[in-house]
Amino acid sequence: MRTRGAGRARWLVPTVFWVVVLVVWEFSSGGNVVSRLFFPPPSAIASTFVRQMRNGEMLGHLKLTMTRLALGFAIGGSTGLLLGLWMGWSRTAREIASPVLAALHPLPKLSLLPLLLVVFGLGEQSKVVVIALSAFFPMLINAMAGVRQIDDLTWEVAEHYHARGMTLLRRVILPGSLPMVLAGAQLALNSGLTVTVAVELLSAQKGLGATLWLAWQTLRTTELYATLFVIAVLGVLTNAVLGLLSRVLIPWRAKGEHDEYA
Amino acid sequence: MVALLRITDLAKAYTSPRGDVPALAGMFLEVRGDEFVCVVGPSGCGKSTLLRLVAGLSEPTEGKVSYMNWTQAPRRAMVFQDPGLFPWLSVLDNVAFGLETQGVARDERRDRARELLKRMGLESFAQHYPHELSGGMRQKAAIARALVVEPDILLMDEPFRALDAQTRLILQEELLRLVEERPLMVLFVTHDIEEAILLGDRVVVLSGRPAHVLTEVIVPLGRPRHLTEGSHPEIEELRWRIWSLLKPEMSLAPGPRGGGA
Repeated sequence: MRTRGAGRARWLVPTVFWVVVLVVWEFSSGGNVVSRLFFPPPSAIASTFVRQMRNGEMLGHLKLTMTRLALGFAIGGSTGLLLGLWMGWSRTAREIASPVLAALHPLPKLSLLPLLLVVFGLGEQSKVVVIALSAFFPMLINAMAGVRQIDDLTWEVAEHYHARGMTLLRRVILPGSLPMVLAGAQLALNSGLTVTVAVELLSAQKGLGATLWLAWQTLRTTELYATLFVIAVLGVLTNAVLGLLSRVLIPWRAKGEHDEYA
Repeated sequence: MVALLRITDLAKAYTSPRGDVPALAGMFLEVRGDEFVCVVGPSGCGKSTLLRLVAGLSEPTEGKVSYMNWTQAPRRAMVFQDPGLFPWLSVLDNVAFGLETQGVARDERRDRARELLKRMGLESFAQHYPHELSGGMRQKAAIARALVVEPDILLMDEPFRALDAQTRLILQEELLRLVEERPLMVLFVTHDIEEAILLGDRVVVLSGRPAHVLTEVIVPLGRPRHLTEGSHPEIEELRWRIWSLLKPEMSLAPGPRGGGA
């Protein structure tokens, strides 16, 4: 009985705590202590959110942001994956590419935006390229590390049975690196989302980041909070999808060995 | 003409920053195509190196490994100390791996792998992942992976080292049964003198590093062999003879070669 009680309290206490926080926030907002401009009551944020969802405004921005993120992730992630696998497998490839990577990797990708604006113009291209760059590096580095951590015995067995070409790729390199590749995909998505929002703050007319900027300029803080909420949900959802994906794609890992993504 | 594996003046040295470390030097050995030969030697003497050279996983510094009187180049398959199964493949696909790399079609290689698993009593685990198996079953699957390619030479590098005594005995019997079903050459490296005598037709005793052949002993047991049939007095005697040869080679033991000064 005692453990059952403790099990219930595990979700009960945090829930009660945060409900109390919301209630205190709701009723103190607009008073002498809590500024209504900085911390509008949750009910006002919720009604702004509902209004924006109803008139389709929020969904339009969300769709645009997700499209940019998806495009950038697809381009940067896939090239990073291919190059990373190749660099993990071939020492020559590593020796050729690593000086360039060592120089470019520490550079904040966002700092390339002005240059990319000059090259690709103000349109979507420059945005997608900088998002792709931000997804490229984490993917590449994890894919490379993923191949390199495949243990010696596995390589030896593959060599002993003369595995090469597609068989080697399909049976050894891809599955052996998959756990780290998925971790890399998560890093790439997170850094992609960060850069997407940042780019939209700086140079977009539409999208969640642009909405944030507009809301600040017009001091509509309920819109600010509502947009932040949507961005947070987007972030949580992408991580949850990847967590699920890793469970489906890596069934050979012993129970409890899965990394916690969500 | 008898098919032979002939090892001539074989030497292998590993390079290290503090100079070359010889593992093998001046090794001569001949093994018949249907012989089960066990190789014993002090730990770290280069037994595994010998197998790796025969397997073609590493190149000798000097000397050569040659094959005489085979109708075609003999197929070699190695069973490693750790099973080395791919954790991401089912037992069935692990066993079929050697066939897959040979380009055998999917259905055929699965049939052949399943057939072998059945003979080894593992068929109900065909779809399991290696981590769902016990250590003994894993090593058994690794043996199946080597046997499925129907090798002419089976190379085994202390395959039962990590197993408990009972499991080891079961797998030893199993191995004898499999080998006696279809004659092939087995080169079995072990540090366990008793295991070497129980399994081998012949026991090759290696010196300490750099390893060469000290002596060879014929095991006076026939085939088919049953390990659980009770003890054999001649085995006891043989065991002590091999031990007395090995002991001075151990760097821990007092004696002319060791640290007994």
